[in-house]
Amino acid sequence: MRSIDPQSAFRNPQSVAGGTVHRLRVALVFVVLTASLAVLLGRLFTLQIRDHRGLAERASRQYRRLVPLTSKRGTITDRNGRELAVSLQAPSVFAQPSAVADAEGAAAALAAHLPLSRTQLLERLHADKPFVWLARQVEPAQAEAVARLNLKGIGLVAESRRLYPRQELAAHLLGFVGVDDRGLEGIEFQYDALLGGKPRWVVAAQDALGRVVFRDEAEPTDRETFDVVLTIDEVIQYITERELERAVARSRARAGTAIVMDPRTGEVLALANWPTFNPNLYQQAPADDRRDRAAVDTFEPGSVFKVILGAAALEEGVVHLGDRFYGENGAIEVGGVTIRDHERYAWLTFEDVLAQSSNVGAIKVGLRLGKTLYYNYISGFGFGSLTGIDLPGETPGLIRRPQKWSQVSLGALSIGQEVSVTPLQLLTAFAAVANGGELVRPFVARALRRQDAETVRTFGPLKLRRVISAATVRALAVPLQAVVREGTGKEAAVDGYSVMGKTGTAQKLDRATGRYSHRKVVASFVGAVPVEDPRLAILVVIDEPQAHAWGGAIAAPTFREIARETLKYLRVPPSPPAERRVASAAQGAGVYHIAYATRGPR
Amino acid sequence: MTTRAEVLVGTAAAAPAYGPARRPFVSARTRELLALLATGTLLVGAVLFYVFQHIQVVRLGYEVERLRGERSALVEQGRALTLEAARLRAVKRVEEVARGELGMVAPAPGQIVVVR
Repeated sequence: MRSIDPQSAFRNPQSVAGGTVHRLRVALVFVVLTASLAVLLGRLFTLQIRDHRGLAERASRQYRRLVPLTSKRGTITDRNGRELAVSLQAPSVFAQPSAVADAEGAAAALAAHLPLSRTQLLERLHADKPFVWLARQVEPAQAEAVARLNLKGIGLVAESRRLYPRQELAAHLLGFVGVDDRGLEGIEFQYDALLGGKPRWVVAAQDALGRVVFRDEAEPTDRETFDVVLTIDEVIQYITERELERAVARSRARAGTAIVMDPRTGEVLALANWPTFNPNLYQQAPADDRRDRAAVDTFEPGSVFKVILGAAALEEGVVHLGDRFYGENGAIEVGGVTIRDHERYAWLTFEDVLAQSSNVGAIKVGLRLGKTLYYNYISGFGFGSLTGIDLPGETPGLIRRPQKWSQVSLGALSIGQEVSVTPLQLLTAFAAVANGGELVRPFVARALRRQDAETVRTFGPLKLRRVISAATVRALAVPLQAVVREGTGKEAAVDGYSVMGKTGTAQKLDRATGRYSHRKVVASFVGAVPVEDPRLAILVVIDEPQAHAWGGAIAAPTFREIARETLKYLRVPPSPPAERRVASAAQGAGVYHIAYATRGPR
Repeated sequence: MTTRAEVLVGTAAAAPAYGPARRPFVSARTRELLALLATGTLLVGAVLFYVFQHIQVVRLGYEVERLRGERSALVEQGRALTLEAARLRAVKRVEEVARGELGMVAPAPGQIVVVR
């Protein structure tokens, strides 16, 4: 067989030509592909290496944005956790005027659902601004109706709305919140930073439609919000407000204030003012109604101030319980001014001076004490200074230094004139008498809680100073009980309980004449119950009563009703029988220990 | 001219005489192709897996945001119910219902007996 050279078998001229073309094609494809790859690699290099930083920043600006974390404003509750102020989401309607296609049509459509007229809406839609509010915090049904309209340039955004489910209850204490969720009065203002926190933001990645895809986890910071637990009790607050309203209505008075405090700790259990308002509708209430008279208003206390005089005189030993004073038949001249009693008395014991609220007797006690000592005790009991309560707008009242007293001042101050005090100051001073002689700071916030109910801080009682000794308190309790048992405060007696207190009917200064008015008075009663272990110190002040216009007739019975209902609610057992009560008062109810505690926030 | 058949015969004739010619089960070229295919499959698979993970993360991101929104709505609903409960439990309202609808009255002092 002939051998065949395989290689030579292909050395066909036609095969050789075809192979070259093939190789050329392959080479061409290779070159094209390589060139394309080179272009791609070059582009890749440009995008990923050379221009990487700039492009990454541009991309980041497009897909990253800051998302606000809407933390709800903290809830305010009473001491038992009953909600007094709660925040909910409330939709608000806004417009971007430049994006609104048909302003007339939009205004007509929106007017049917929003509390604005077509004209008002049109005015806002034509505003030369990029963003305008149309209606803030509307009802959910209104928001749904607006959303269904699907108008270009009109949108909804969720805001926080503050609601007070108990309506007027504790309105002055709670205060209220403005449209921008900031506290404007009361606890809402005082603890605004803790209730409202500060705006927080996290970085989020969004898609082309603006929907958030990822977000960074929020770091817990000091900007979180807290719930505030108050010292007040909803039931005691309601009882106090109800009785105060009845008293103001019955006496046709101009205004009234009633405060209930635990004298051992300074916790305010109730704080009521009349007139009052609904914090859900605070914009509609006159400023006068919204004023917290208990802490802000001052008045000349009148005869209730004789408690301070009596405490000072007994403490200094210038007076003893058995001392007798001649009543001058109901009139005494001091510094050229004649001051009268409401009855003509001959001889009175010190107990009678307080029980019958004799001005003549009180002035004589004051003259024995002297102005320097008396002033020291007045300021020692906290008058002329802030009590330090955690409420805004408190005023310190006014007491002039002895160097500025006139010839009549000592006499006037002995009967509670020429000094202006707030109801809060007066009750705080009386609480010191009730608790055994120590002045405590009143407070209304009891604790702070995280919104998962974990308590993070509690505010406890704060003893400021000892003002009078326990022995003086025991001695003073005798005439103060006589006030209620047989004196001017008989209407304050609570069945089954020992009560001590003092009435007051102070003439108001008539600014038109510059003299004290006979018609305009402030009627008051301050008292504590039960005497052997005071659980409640209560002050009632009725401003300008037209009927029953004296402390014993209108303030004392209001005290009685508040005390009776509150003692029942707190299940405080009745006092021991009278003979044992007097004996225990003489032996002493004991010194009340008040522990130092953490100061609360200011 | 040498025909293809003759070339093949010549080639076969030039083969060493080890006995009858045995073709391998999988030829070298096939093995090469299979290896290439496997490598390509692995590469493509890895890329697909990477892309799949990314898509899953994005999808889960949407899901998380949707659940956040749902949670917010439920929390809000809880708050609204708390508010309504607070309104219904208000002492003033309870007293009005007790007196007005149920005809209840406050106990008189003598009706309360303290048991020590």
